[in-house]
Amino acid sequence: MSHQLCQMCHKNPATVHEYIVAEKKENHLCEECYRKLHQQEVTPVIQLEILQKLLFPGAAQEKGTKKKKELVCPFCGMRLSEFKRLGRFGCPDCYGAFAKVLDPILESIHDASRHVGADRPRKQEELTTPGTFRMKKEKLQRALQEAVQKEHYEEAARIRDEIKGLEEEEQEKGETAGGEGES
Amino acid sequence: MIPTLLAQGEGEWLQGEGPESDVVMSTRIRLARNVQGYRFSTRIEIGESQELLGFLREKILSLPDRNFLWADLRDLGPIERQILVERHLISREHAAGDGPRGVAVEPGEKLGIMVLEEDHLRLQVLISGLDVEKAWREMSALSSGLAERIPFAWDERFGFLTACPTNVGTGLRVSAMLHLPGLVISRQIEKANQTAQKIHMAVRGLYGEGSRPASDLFQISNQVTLGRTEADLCAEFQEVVEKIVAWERETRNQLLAERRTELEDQASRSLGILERARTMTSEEALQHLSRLRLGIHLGLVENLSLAKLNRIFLWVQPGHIQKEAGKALDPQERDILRAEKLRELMP
Repeated sequence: MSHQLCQMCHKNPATVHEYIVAEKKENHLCEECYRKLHQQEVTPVIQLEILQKLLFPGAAQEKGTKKKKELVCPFCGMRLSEFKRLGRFGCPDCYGAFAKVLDPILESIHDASRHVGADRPRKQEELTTPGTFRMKKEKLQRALQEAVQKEHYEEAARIRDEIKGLEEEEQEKGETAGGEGES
Repeated sequence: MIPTLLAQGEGEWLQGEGPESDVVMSTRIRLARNVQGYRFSTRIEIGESQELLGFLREKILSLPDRNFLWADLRDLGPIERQILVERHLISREHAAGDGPRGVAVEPGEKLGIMVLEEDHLRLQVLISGLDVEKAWREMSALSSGLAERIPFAWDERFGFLTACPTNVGTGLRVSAMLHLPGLVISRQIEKANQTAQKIHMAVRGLYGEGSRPASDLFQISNQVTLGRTEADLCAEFQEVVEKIVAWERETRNQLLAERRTELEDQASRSLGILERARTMTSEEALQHLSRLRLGIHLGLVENLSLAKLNRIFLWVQPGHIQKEAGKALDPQERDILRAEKLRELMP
């Protein structure tokens, strides 16, 4: 059997052959191009199409009416447009931040929008990670900034105390447990 | 540790045992989980991911009654990574990615964990033949063990939270690797694919070429992860695959009744080529191995066990060939070594 050349770079012999049944498409690639191709494909083509179909008509309508503020995750800063492009969220909080537009997306993928599977495993709320405190603190700091900006000084003072309490708790825990994980 | 494991042998899933193993090579269950307190892979910073990798490594290696081996992907060379991909222990994306990330594998390769792939944790159970219930029992035990130590990202409405909304809810992906030469020869594979799609199952050719993947190996998996229970997803998958298995068997018998000489001729020619060739691409090898696999089940090939043939499917792939050589080879050199290895292995 003679070697065919990679259909992307036309230089190296094609060593990876795949057939995508759903698309009736064949790919004959060298390993380098295969990697490039699949790294770019952040999300499988079909899934991205579903997301875009669902999200773009809405976006088009928005343009016609008033220009709305784009949804942004308050924790990780992921914008709705970025989520559309990547097909991936930035953090667990994104689910709450994009809840308004999420149901139709989930319906199109799963024919459902609510979890009915296994419950949260027992005692999960008692567990922490090194990131738990940091994330909590980051969220509080953001809330503090916002409160100060809005001149809600009483609330700001309350949040400041909460941050202090959290820091003390973290220190105690660090001293007794000797720190969790490695860094 | 993992390179030593890889030198020892291959996974249990290649044994060619378990229900329906004439058609189903393996059943796999994957569970996606993320860890509370960390951003997903799209947003995580390097310091955080380094910290999370250390945290997860410690939790995984200290699981009671488990014996996981660990590797930091950054410590592995390209051939070692390629081998892990060929053994279905890590994805191509995980092998090619950069940044802190790891893999944990138990000897026997039935249980594996990708750490900091698209999701923080991708747990995997891989077994021989078709037995979704058994795979789920194993997975359930593994995920419960981890849930006692690691708080997962969770939401009452959406269940286990994942980087991609296609995995959210249960985070459960069941798949099976099917050898379907009967449906390919009889040109019914497209129909099988369309039927599967209608019920939200995806079919994908593995290591394929042309309108038929040379290996005649297909992977089928569930697409829905939300709004159903884990038990329902598993039961439905088992049922669908059983139907495809019955269809494939029926087709094979019909082919045998109508085109016996042709099938015998193909299996014998393939055997002859595998015994004699001096250079062979992996594509060509897979094609002949597929015909031999069919030949074994139709009683047309003797002295070759299914377990051995399953292993040969793995050995002819580029990573394994280069491991055999102990160095990186260009494709032409691989083809020569592959033919040599095949001559040695044929009965």
